[in-house]
Amino acid sequence: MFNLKGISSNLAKNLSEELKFNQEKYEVVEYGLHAFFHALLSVILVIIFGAAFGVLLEALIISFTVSILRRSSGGAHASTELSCASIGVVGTVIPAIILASCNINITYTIIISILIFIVSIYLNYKLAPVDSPNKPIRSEKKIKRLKKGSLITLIIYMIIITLNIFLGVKLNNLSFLVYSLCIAIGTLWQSFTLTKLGHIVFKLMDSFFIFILFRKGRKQYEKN
Amino acid sequence: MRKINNKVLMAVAALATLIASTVATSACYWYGYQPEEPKCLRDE
Repeated sequence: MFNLKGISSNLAKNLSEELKFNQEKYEVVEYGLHAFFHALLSVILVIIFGAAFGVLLEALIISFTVSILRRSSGGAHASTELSCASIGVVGTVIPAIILASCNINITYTIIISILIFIVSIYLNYKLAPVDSPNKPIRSEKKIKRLKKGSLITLIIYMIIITLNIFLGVKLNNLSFLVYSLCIAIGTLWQSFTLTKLGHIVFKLMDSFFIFILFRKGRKQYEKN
Repeated sequence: MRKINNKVLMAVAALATLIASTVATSACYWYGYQPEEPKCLRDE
């Protein structure tokens, strides 16, 4: 199976040799390339599966909602790029399919959005940022900045949802209500991954996809 | 031709460095996978 790290390492190695970079510069370039390719893979997979199920825009809205909030709040992590991308596809396309096929009205949209944002603001205030062993966050200054960033992102999402609901009512177009709920669901999912239960669920999904993709158990995969 | 190649490579390296720096200032870069951060970018 293809290896994103291998691809970005080889590309970074070639770049470093041509441009005569030192080891430190090589590591930074490799990290940046890996990040770029992983994000690209994730978005491409969401586009493919979202389009296949007829929920492209909804799935992309959920995906970007989660990813943008995740930049400040952190959260549970998968152990491989492919299992992460798979969780991403499942976590965006399935809710998109459910939302697109629901009978939505403005009252439910407002109530659900308010409830979701109360829970999300509480969880982000209490728990954000949640780091990972590969990217520890130790500086108090950075913790405060990221927590503030999460809360500001949530406020911006609330404003966007309010505008969407207003547009939906004004133009008598239910699609805007669906988009509002996509943002709300994305926010809820991302906030959930900050919690202990969220980490457990994420780990279960990670183990499931590692088994499906690599035909190995999680511990066996980590040992190798 | 070599000069153009070098310019393209420099642009790619600069973009990769920019992405790495952006990721380093955040809690996570995209969805649920986080590769090991280089020591020079760590906040310790």
